[in-house]
Amino acid sequence: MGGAAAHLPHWAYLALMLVGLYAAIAKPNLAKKVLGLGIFQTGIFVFYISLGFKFGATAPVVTGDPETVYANPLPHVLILTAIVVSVSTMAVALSLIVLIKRAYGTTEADEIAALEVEDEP
Amino acid sequence: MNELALLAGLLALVVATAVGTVQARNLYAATILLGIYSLLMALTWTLLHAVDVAFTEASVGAGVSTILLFAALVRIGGRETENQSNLHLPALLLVLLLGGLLAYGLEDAPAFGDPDAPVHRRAAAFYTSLESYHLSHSKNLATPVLASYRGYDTLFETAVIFTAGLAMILLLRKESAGSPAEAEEIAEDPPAAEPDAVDPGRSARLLGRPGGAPRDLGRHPVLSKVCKTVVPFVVVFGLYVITHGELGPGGGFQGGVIIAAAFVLVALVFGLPRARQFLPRAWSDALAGVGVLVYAGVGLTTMALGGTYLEYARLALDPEHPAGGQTLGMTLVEMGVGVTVAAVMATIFSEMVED
Repeated sequence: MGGAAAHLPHWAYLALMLVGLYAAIAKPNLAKKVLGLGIFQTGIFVFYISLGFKFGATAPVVTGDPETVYANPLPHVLILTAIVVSVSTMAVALSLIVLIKRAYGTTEADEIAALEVEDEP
Repeated sequence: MNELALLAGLLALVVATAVGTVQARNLYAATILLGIYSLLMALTWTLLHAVDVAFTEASVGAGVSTILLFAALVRIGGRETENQSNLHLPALLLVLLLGGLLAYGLEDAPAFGDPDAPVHRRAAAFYTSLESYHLSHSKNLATPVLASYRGYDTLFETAVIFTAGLAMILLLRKESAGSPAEAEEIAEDPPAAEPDAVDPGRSARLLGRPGGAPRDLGRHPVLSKVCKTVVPFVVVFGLYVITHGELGPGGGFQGGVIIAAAFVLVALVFGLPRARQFLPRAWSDALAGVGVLVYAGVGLTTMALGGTYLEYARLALDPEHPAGGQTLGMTLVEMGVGVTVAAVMATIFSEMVED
């Protein structure tokens, strides 16, 4: 295992993190920022899960054959709870955006900033 | 080698979908793309032998979060404004700089799939040994890590989910139970009358409530029949997944989400009031806390029995076989997790669609 294959998932998580981060910074729409952060987060999930992978191993469910090698379940556990936590935190972020929409009538960060400037004396 | 080619293909699709999600101007389209992204992710997890994660991703990512985003978009509007330049140069430079640094750091990362990587030594070597199986009697080697060895971690993850549900209630719930005058005052408060403001009746219509012209999907013969047939099985399957986390992929997190999915399905087809007949608001509010209390209570019980916090071996009915205590303890905390997750997911969904 040399060359590109040795780091295959690493390139994917790098790409996902960067795409997500770009969206979170560059896109003025607040919902789009939340989606971007979600993608950033899944990039980190790919990093963790690929750490747990071993060539020649199988899913960590006991097979009965004592020679079986299993994938490392620790990253799996960390990430499966993180996925459920991520949907919960996304829901809180979305409800904050609902309140922002109610207060400002828009969900674009630049328009909100403009409204804030207008309000100042 | 075939596996690697498949993985490369899947990851390429995943990255392409992520770019599509970010670029889509229509946020409904972005949400659908994100759902596809999640399904591709679930396949990737399976290929990487993370079956429990795949299970969670399929139920949460492709199911609950898609519905939740739709419900939010109905309220906040589904289009980005057009008056923006396509490229944000400072962000691009920052992202490229970070990417360069991380790529440079990859030089030193252990090769993908190396069975001797540092991450597989020490405690992890125990987690994948048959010793762990004999200690916990859990065929699924991920479950004892989740519910037993890292039980504190999972307890607080559950508390975070509970807190998120609480935050949703505090942010979005109206005090309809308050005095009638107060309720009227809220009702008179007009929504922002922007030209592009979202029609407030839309979400009501989505749920077929008397407020708007009811869509009433429940009258659609195919939908109502399928929904009525499927829902009991979904609930039973959810309970099975919660209680059989030791035998195969599954556990409280996945099972809880599956049960909440049954609630969401009933709400989508027959309206939220109908779904609330199965799970009244007061019940879901209480159950969200009960799950955490069950989990924390198991820890206090083991302490009362003379052990340390969450030392399940103390729960063994037969002291000669502490594995029985492990099974009992893990099943109990998985049930606690399942109850909290199901209740909070139902709360999150209903607070988001109710206006």
